[in-house]
Amino acid sequence: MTELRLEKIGARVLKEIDLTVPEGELFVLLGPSGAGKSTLLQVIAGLLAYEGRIFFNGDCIDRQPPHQRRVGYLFQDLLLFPHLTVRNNLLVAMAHLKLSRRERQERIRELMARLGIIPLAERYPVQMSGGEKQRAALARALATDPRILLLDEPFSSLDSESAGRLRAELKMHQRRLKITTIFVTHNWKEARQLADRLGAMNAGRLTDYPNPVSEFPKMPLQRRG
Amino acid sequence: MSDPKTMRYICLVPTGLLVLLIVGVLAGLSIQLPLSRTLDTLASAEIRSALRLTLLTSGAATIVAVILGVPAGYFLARNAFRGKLFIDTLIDLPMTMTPLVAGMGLLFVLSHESVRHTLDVLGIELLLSPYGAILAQVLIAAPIMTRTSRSAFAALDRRYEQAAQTLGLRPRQVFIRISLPMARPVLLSGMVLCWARAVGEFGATLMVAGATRFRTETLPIAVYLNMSSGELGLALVCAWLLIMTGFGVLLVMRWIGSPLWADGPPERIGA
Repeated sequence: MTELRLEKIGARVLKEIDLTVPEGELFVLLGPSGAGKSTLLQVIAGLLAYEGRIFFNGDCIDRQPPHQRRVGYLFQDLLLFPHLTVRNNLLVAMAHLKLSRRERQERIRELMARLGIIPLAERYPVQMSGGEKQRAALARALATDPRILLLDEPFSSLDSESAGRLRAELKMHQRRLKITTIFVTHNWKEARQLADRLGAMNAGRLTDYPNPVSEFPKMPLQRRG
Repeated sequence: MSDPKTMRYICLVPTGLLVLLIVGVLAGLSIQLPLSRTLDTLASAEIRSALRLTLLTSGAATIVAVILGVPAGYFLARNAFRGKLFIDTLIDLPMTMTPLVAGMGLLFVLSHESVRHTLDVLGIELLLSPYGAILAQVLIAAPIMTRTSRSAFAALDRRYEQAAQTLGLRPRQVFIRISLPMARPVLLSGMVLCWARAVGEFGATLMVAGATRFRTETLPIAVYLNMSSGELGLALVCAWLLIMTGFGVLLVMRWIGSPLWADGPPERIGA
């Protein structure tokens, strides 16, 4: 269980972002394209230089390189490694964990079973459908035993039925694992379905939305440009 | 102005001329080849020695070129620094230099008193030795490997490396487990090309290693030596060995093509 705290974060379009996501919360960041949502996730993951400070459970992680932050990052394009099967994609994600070979295999089996992808274990990404790739990528992000989960519009390329099903599954896994999560989207419906709490981002600034979820305004955010 | 058919004929003429030129060269070499004595010539001690030395030196040169060229290519693809354009161009230079001139430069460096002294102390014999042939081949072939690697890594979507970092992989692990395998098809092509260049290397090898029968006599050197001494049969057999090697290399490069994981359209099985 990890609490995430951001203090006066600035990077590219981001302007003095302050945010606290309590342990186990699913925080949805809603905003139009170009608002800086993905940039904020990259900053938390350590992939972009930034000003300000980031804390995990009160410990400043600013000096930690990306590979030490233990952040599960689900990119918009998923970025499953094309030269590896699903099983090996998961194995790569566990390379840094001090586990025996047997423990790794067990953990992979458990994760694949939880996400319903056991039959896909020996497939390459090019041999899978969009929804299957989403599940495999989520399994890979979880395989790292992350402290924080960052999801960057992972369902944007799916049809609404598949996306809805995967959102429900994601919510269920997030609840069960009690993993602190930031979910980025520009889809109002998606935000309402997932969020414990919601933040709105526009032109690099983060503003609060009325919370709890039941009090969300009915109007969706306008897409910019 | 011109319909597709006319355009096809216009392009066909230069294509035909090019094919004719190459076939002409091959025919010229075939006519002179003493077919009846080819097998005997192939089995001769000199040819076997030249072939063995060529394979050994080109193999070693390719390994060194890969060890130098792949990291150099990765460095150039992933880093921006002052003077990069200059360094980049400098590394490419041996590809445009006449090998004879490159070899001449290498000869002068190796002949310099301080270099010779250092090599003597270390017990390394480069001038007029097979090791010199390897060094000459590296000089000519390594830039090909560097250039190919640079292109391969530059074309690789950097976000895969970022994704690997977020999965807990250190930069070295990212390179070995992600970047290198993803760039593998292009790197393999580069390696094959590099080896072919090393096999056919003549000018720089002649300058540094000299042309001593059974000692520094690679196949191109054997062609030169035997042409000079009027042993046309031996020279032609060596020439054909080089041509067959080149043809084989081109076939392999086409065969390497795309890897399994990039083949075909995605098989949709349902979300």
